[in-house]
Amino acid sequence: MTTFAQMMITALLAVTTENILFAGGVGFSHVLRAARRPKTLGVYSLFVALFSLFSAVGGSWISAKLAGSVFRPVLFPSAAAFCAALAYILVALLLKFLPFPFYKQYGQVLAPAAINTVVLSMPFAVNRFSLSPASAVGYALGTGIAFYLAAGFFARAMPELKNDAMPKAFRGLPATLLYIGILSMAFAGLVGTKLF
Amino acid sequence: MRNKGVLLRETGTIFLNGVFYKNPVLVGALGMFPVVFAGDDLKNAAELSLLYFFLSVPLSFFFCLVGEMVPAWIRPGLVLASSAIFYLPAAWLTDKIEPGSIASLGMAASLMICNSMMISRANEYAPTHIGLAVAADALGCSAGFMLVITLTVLIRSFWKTCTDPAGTVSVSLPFFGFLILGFLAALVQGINEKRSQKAGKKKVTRG
Repeated sequence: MTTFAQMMITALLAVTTENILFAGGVGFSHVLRAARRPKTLGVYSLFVALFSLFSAVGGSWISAKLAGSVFRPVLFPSAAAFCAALAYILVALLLKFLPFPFYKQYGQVLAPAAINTVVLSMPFAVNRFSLSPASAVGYALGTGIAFYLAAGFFARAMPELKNDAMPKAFRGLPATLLYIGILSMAFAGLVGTKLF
Repeated sequence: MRNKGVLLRETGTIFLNGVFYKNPVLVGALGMFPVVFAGDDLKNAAELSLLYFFLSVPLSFFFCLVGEMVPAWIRPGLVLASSAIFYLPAAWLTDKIEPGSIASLGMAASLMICNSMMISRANEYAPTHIGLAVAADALGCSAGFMLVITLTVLIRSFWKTCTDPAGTVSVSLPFFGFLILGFLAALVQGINEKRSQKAGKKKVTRG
């Protein structure tokens, strides 16, 4: 029960006060791209959660190996990203040669999900890597949910952000960025300071 | 001779597109994190720009050379792995020029490895273009990144010193960076709109 509670608390933190997207300002390039394809959003977020779990487990292993090194600040992010790249290649290889056409349908979101996961998990990995297995699962779950909610939110908002009533110069991306700014302001009210 | 002139003009256009008209941050919404997160200090801006330059130029050239030999499905993974490797000399060089910069940049430096602007250029643009175009694009994007992050720092500093000396608005928080990016993106979009209208008028007059 304690393990489950720990997992749920970490997941809740990842969605709310430790929301890496809105409170940290990280990963929005991928969120906006994902929002343009609402049909694949569920699978995309699932991949984000899965890769986040791999990164959390792999990151703690690398962190332990580099614990005493003076080069840790430079080596750790590099090694973590390298491992994420290998994880992507292995998963893509596995899915590509599966008998059912999963890769054909969802292969296009696999690479951005893997790269995005590095973006989303790096802050957590670099700052405080002493995750228990339950927290790692909770963090991965929370990151996937946060990504799904943010991208889903923008998928719904995008037509409004191209509204003809606003000046031409602000339609589309500029309005989206201002919208992200306002939503992030709300999260800044919750967090109060820089996330990391 | 004429071909050389055309080539140079096209190279110049690619460079200018990266710097302003198709600025990847303001038009493509790529690589926004370093700008919104660390774009509150000129020193940070200079160090991040250097790091971006040292990382993106070799990465783009590498994929200009080998990109087409690699199957498309494996390329994103290879780009990320190569970026992780190229990050080591890039971080070392930046730290040599500005000692202590990588440690002080912290997260902003680490996340440069998976900067979406750099990854997308190396994955999509570099493999299908000639070396000169790739060089112009990498330099243009580096200059464009530097321009955006410097402008963000200047606006934040102006706000801090002139408009809000009491510091009631936390201008160094990411939300303020997004708001600045929104207005800068509107500026670029407005200018591009005017340019296309002008070009349209020219075509009509010629016709």
